[in-house]
Amino acid sequence: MPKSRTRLGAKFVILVATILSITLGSSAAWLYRQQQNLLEEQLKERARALNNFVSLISSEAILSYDFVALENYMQDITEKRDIVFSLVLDPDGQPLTTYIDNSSQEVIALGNGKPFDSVLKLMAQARQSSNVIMQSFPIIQHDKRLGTFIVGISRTRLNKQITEHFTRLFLMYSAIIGFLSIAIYLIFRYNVLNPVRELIDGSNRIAGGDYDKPAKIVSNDELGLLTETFNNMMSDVRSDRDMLNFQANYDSLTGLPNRMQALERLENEIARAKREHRKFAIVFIDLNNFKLINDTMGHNAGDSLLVELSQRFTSTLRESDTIARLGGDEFLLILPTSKKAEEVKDAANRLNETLLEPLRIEDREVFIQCSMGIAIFPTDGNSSKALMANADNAMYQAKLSKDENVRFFAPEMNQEILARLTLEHDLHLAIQRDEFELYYQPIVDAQSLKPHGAEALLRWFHPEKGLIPPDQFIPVAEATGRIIPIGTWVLNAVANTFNDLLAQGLDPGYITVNVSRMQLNEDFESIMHELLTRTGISPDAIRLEVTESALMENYGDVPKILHRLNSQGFKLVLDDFGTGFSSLSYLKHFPFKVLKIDKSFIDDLPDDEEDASLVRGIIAMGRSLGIDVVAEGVEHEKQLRFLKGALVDSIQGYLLSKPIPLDDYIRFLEKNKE
Amino acid sequence: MGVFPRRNAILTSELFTPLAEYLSENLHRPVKLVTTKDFPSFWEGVQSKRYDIVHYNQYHYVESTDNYQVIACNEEQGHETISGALYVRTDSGITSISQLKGRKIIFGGGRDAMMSYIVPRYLLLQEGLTEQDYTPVFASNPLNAVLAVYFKQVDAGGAGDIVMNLPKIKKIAHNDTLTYLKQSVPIKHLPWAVRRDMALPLKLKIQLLMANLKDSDKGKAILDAARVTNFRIARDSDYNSARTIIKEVMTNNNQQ
Repeated sequence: MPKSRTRLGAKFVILVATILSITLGSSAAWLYRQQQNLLEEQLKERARALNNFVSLISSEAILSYDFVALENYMQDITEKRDIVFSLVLDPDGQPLTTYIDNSSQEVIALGNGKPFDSVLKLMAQARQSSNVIMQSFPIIQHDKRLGTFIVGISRTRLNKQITEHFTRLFLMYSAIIGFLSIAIYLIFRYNVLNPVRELIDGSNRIAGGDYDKPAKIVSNDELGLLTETFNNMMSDVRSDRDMLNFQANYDSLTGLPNRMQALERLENEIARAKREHRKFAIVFIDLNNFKLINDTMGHNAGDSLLVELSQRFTSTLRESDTIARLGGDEFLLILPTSKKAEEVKDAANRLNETLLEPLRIEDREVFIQCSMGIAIFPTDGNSSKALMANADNAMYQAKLSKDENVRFFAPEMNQEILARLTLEHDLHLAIQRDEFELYYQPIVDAQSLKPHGAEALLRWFHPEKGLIPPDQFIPVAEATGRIIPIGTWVLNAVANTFNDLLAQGLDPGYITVNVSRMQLNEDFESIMHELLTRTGISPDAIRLEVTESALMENYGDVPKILHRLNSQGFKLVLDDFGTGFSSLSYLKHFPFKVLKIDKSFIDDLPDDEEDASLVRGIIAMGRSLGIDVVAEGVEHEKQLRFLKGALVDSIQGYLLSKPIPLDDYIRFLEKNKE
Repeated sequence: MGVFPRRNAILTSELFTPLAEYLSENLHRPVKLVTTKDFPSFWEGVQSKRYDIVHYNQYHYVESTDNYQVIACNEEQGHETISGALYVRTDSGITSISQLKGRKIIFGGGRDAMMSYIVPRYLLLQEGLTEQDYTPVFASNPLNAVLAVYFKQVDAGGAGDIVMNLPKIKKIAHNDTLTYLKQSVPIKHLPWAVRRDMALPLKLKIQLLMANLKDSDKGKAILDAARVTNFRIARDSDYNSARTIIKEVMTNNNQQ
């Protein structure tokens, strides 16, 4: 139960009334005392005046024994107002008068209703009464004391007078206190309470989330200033709230709704869709190789890319759609009005089209692609968690797929994802468990068919699943970043193998190692340098093979890295030549010494005229540029004959040898050495 | 008509103007009341026989009998005689006049006051006390003399014996605090005298007029105004006792 609070106004009024009461009460008490003293002094002054009169007239009477006159004098005096008694005494204290007014109220009171028979008794009783002022004056004639005049004056009338006066004063002061309290309260209420209430109301509005209505400024003083300050604060709080709200719900980089906002909207959409019994779709979008761009071009470039991408995405959407950045390079698209798969596919395609044009980042043209996973409510999940997970799964499948970057969720994807996750986990431990093995596929001179090198190919022998093909685990390795330690392991293994072969008197010539785009960073140079230093092999013992498709995805600092590797003595091999969009520009920008014609151009040789022309052209170009050309995937004699005729430099393929384990490769080398 | 200044002139006038008017009316001649401010003035009028009718005390009469003849006297409170007395307080311890030797005695009038001085002096002389034997002081009137005794200002006081019973005295002094030490023989009250050379019929008429006042309401009113109960017929011989007292006192005074 909330604690009882005394209102400020009541407290103030009580305080003011208390102060006024104390002040006026003290004043009244002082005045009372003053008045009492004044009136008493007046009574004493009357006594003195009476004494003056008595002194004048009584001397003669005393000297002439005129007691009748004295008695008459005392009677006259006693009958005056406020006089209780009066008498004259001789110098020996003997009374010379006897007059008592037993009908006087004061005398009756002193005698408790019984009459006095002696003025001396009356005087004695009066002396004990606080209600009687006793005054005595000597009667002196020519320096001779003739007697004493004693008069008793009643305070009754004085007290009554004072009481009446102060009753009026009390009533007046009470009225003043009441009036002042009310007046001060009204003034306080107008000048203080109203502004304070405005502030309280304003505070309550803020507490209720309403920042739009400022407190009304009702005074032009410190409270008005406080109100103004409060309003400024409220405005600042609103701005901060809006900013926090924005920060809490929107991505600070792109201005798109953030994950929290996205989930909230998704939840709302799910609720609406349930009520309306309709479908809607979500699209999980992940940028491909965004990390590479960040690493090669820097985070600023990565941010700029995200900003421009967000704007392109937004421009393709309808007002009812929501595009949100979930974080990193992940986006979520909510399509509330798209019920059919075609509509969703169209929307995804529109997003894809925005990526066809390169993005201009730091004066460079950058291409980026994305993978999209689509989940439909309620088919693919009736909760935000389920929809998001399944859209993510679909996106992942799209990422893995070479053909299509947009995939609808299928229930079996969950199994695939589980398998993928398991694979990732096992891959993480593969090096520790020594589950990798290198196979070697010889590369031979096209004319002599003598081996002058080999390509090292990684094999993973899973303890439970057996051999896992590279096309299964290499994408996973690249996606998880494990490709780097795996790639490094491969390089070290190749270097060690090279030395071992040399030690056995076998010279493999060179060994080509596939290098992932992700490995091509500044650390790679250090790794290669350390490799040379540690193993002592010559740089030309290892050739670094980079696929054209890997270079397609924004090469950034790759040219510099490749040039530096080249300058270290490493030969660079461009793999899968012909499969990319700018094959010739790579040859221009990168110091490749060898290019490998992709198997897809070899498969239909020599029958496919176009492939034949292309292969001849590639070989001729290579020769003109001084670049060795290797034909991959040679499996048939007729292919070999053609290629020999085309004067390709080297051949690789199953016709010569499939990739073989080291032991078999050693035997191969021994056989060819003979 | 002259009245001795026993009381003040205004009071004297109030008391005796009705009598004067009555006499005027009945004597068919103006009777003018004459008051004086003091006794010497009055006595000068007596001695010069200015007054046709005069009212004074016994001593005055005795001293003026050569020129005046008494025709009536006051009857006050039903008494045509009055005694003089010596007063003491009942708690004074004084029970005989001899105890007054060396004391202070107050007299309620001057040396010509009959009841307040002469008679009390006579009572003291009878016990052998002359004025050398005590301290005499004088009050302005007999009431004050008695009050002086009551208030212990003197040891004894001389005044008429009726004074103690006057309402004024009773109001001031408790009765049981005062007592007579000695009272004199009754003496005829205050006389009314006429010039001896007044015609007898006139004397008689005046006498009768005064003596008959009690017989009428108007007369009673005149008597009330004069604060007497009656005017009684008086003869010179009625004052012989007064004469004796006066003679002894005055002789003693002269000797001193």
